[in-house]
Amino acid sequence: MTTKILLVEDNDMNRDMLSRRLTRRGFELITAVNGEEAVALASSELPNVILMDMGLPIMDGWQATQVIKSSDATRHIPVIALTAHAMDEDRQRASDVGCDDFDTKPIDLERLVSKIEAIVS
Amino acid sequence: MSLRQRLALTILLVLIFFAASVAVYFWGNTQRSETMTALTRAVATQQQVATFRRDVDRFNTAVVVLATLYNNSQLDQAAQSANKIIEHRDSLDTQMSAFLSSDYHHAAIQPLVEQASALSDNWYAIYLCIQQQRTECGVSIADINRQHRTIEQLADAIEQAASEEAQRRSAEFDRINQLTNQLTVSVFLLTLCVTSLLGFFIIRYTNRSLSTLKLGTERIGEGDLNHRIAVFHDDEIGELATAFNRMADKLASALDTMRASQLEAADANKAKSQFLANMSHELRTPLNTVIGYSEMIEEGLTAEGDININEVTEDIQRIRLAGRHLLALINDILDLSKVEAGKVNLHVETFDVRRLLDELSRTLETIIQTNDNNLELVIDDNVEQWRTDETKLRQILINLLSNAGKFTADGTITLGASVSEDALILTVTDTGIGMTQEQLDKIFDAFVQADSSTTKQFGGTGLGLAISHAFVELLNGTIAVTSEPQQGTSFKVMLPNLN
Repeated sequence: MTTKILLVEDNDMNRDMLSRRLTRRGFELITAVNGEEAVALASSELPNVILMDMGLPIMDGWQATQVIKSSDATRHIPVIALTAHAMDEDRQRASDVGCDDFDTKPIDLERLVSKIEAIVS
Repeated sequence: MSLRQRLALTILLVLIFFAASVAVYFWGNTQRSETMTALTRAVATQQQVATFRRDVDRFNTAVVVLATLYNNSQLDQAAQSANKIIEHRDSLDTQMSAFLSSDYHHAAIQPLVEQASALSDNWYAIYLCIQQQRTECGVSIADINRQHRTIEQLADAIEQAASEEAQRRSAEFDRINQLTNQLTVSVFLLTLCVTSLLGFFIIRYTNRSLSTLKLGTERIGEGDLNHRIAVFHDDEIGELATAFNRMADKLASALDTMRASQLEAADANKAKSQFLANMSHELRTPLNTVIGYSEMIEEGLTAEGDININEVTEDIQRIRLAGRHLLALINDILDLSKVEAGKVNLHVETFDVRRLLDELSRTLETIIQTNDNNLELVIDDNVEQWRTDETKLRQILINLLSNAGKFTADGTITLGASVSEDALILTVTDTGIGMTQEQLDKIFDAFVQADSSTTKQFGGTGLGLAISHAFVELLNGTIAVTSEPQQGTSFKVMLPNLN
């Protein structure tokens, strides 16, 4: 069974790039451009893992994660925070809202894939 | 009343009492001496009169005896003693002239002397009669006895008066003595009371003020700079307290200033950290694109199978775009850091504002027309030459105009210029998406675009307005913004003429 990934990213190029690379690795990709879309897709598509950018329009990644983690239907879905904020406090903040793991941009694909595989298995 | 005045008053009072005591002493002395003189005189007169009277009595008896002897024809005996009458007369004359020259005055003295002279004259008549051995002397014994009695009476009166005066003077002397003593003791007691009382009050007052001062300075010294010493009196200690209070004021305000600058420094530090964090984020995003696409192309090249040339070309274009964005970012960051480090040199010159605006409208025409916008120039007639840094002003206006172009679609962007009082006023007004108050509040902060999606949607580094703001301040001007969501935004830059 292929792993279904919900990629939440507002930057067009980064979203395009990462979704294509992960697809090539054999993952099934669905994408969202803001927090609201992410929450909706999480409950309708029930992905195996969510890659969440934090600086998002309309509803940011922290809020979206909180919503997903507070709903019974989506609580079990692991969320990996992806952010260009590299400070320790961002990592702490992500963990506070319920993110299961954390990775920083620029993305190291190998590292990200191993994190995804670790969290899904 | 000041402490100096209090002390001076006390000393003055003591001196006044001392002078009073000396005055009492001198007054008593004078009074006593006058009374003593009068008393002495009265007593002397009394004695003089007594002696005189005794002499007159004795001499008169002697004369009467002589006359009787003579009348009884004991002539030899009388003649032998007649010379004594002359002696008596001389003796009385001496005493009488003493009376007359005496300081003691009494109404009876003159008659006494006159009577005594008359008596003496009669004695002399008797003496001559005896010497000449006449039978008829013309002066009877009864006559001189009568005169003698008159003298006795007068002398009695004088003696009486002198005695009375002596008694009176004596009493007066006692009285003066008593009064002087009483006055001296009273003045002494009064001096004692007043000086003790004043001393007590001065000590108590000084003690109280000094202890208040001491406690106050101790509290201020312990760091309670809000404590103020109560200033009870307008005197030296009060002045000292006021000086201490002023010192505490100054210390407190210095401390406040220090705390404020500490807070300011902390804020600046925090802003710096925030700026760094934001910068890191902003740099990582395009870097992510560059690295991600590069790796992806690499993977495609190494993987077996067909390579879609069109797809790869697009990806390479994306890498180029992200690289360009990165470069723009770095340039803007450098610009901003230069301004903040004070390393931007101004090139102030006088130039034609109208020419600059015309040039700008031509340069930016393409950018503004990208979103089907119109650019309108509204320049007042009084806008001519102005003196400022043209390059900086150009950059400010490019930033504002390209922002307006980005956030407005199918609308109008107006570049206005006017001169009012001492300022050149430039306005950039658009009919674009506008902003909320919350967005307006941080519009001039670095890396803040209305929301992060707009960076992706509209491009830009998020530093343009921060740089414009910094430049306007550099040119001693002001920049203000008003906006309504969906109604548009208006920026107003006011620049002074620089020397």
